Amino acid sequence: MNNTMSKSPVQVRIGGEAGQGVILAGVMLASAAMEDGRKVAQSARYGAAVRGGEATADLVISDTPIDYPHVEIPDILVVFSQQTYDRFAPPRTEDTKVFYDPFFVTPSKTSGGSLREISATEMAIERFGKSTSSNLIVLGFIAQLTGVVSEASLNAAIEQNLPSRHRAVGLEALAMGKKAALEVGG
Amino acid sequence: MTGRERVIEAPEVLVQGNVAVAEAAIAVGCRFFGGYPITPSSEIMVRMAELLRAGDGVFIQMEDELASICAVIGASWSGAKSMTATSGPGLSLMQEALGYAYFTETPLVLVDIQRAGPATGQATHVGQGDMMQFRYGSHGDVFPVALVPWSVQECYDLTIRAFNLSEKFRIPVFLAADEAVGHLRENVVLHRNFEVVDRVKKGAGDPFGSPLRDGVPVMPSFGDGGHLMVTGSTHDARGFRKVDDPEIHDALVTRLMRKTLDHVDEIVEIEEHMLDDAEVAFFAYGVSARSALAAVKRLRSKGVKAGLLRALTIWPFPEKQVTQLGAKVKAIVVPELNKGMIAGVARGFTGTPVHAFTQTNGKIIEPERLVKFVEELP
Repeated sequence: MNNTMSKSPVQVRIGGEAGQGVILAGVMLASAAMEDGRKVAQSARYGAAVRGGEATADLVISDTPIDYPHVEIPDILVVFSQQTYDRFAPPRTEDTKVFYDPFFVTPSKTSGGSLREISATEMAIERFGKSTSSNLIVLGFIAQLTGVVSEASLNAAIEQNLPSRHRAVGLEALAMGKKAALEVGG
Repeated sequence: MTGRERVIEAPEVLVQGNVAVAEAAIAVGCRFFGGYPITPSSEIMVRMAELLRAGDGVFIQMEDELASICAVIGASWSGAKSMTATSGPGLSLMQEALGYAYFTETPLVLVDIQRAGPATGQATHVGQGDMMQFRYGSHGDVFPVALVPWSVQECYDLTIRAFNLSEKFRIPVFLAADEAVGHLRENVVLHRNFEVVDRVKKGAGDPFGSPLRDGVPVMPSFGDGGHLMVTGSTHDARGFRKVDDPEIHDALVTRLMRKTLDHVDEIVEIEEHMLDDAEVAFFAYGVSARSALAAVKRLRSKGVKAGLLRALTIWPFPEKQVTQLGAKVKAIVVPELNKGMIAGVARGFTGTPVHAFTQTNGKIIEPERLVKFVEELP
């Protein structure tokens, strides 16, 4: 996978269940993209329940002002649930880069786009004893593989968006994602 | 007052539309918030609680929406710039006291983050179904002002404008936002580069009278030392009830109308996009105007001469601008997240065909749908 994400606009969709940190991941990515000097429009779609139910975060990144603020066809699709995988993949274009966590998702053989698995939930449980930083592991992974945001800006997003007691874990989770990406290679 | 006639460079930040509303309110001098939480507006209330507690203001979570708007009216009469925020169901509950605020010439800002209605509808999803409630929610002749932001930056800028118009004309002003804009996060500059308008507290005349047909009276506050009477019944210039005098009632209702309608050119703001040679035009507002602008650019790339007239003020209605638009183009398309409320209004001001593009599925309009709609126009 090459660093093709200097394109503008870039559309990113992150899907999962409410409570998995899907929306926080969208906000962090938006924060990093802004730190990179770009325009962003970040939105979320979720139900009325606090936990459970489908949740998606949309992010449009652009070098020029953004007209339509939601994602139409994702360039990057990250899925943390079978439900959101089934809904959004196979995408309407084969250019979409799909990232999924195999703990939750079994991809179908017919889906379009390039598929990459990242065992973020397993990695998070193994290292931290719980799954809560799996969203950040995925961000480190996709940032390394797609170049959608810079590493420095993603680290800065941790500082800007997480309470201080969670920052060390957050930075480590990003680094774990980056390392996993370097191992699988682009 | 902070910020007046000063330009302070502010950095770009990433905040939600709802948060931008609260930041703007504080920046322009709002010092009272009374509210009752409701999705998708609650972030405004949360941020106001943080900001007012840290400063010199007052925040109260009231027991319901009617109490909230009443507290805001009371706070305004005590001299504080005051605001509340809600969504469609809450706006319905506030209507009774909103009429009172209008008739007592009480400045306040009411933010409505519209969701998919009617009734409780879909709390977390977007709608633009309150457009008529802003205009006609109250009984009697009222001529309200409603501003419609399409971005997070405008959530900030139009909140400031809402306060300024409210203070200048002594009227309640709506920020007629929606869930998509309220929950959107974008690059925004929380600048201090704006004028601050404050009500005129002292001067010639009485608190409810003016020799001018569109005059705005002085507004003393409770605690200033004078006798002050505020009533929702018909009143004379000093505030005494006059519930049997036909001339006083007619003069009051007419002056209140004139305050808005004689200043339409000042109050109404519109924006034109690619209209110079346009043959088909969107007339749009709020988040739907962003779908329309994206569609205009795609239509242009296909050789269709499309354009956009965007209303930043929806009430009073941009009548003159819609008439001018109709004289210029062959067809007007009004995309909105309701069953054609504003399209119906627009038809009253032009003989050019006005096509309603309506969508009520809790989502914003995909530009491709608008492109297809225009391509298939007769």
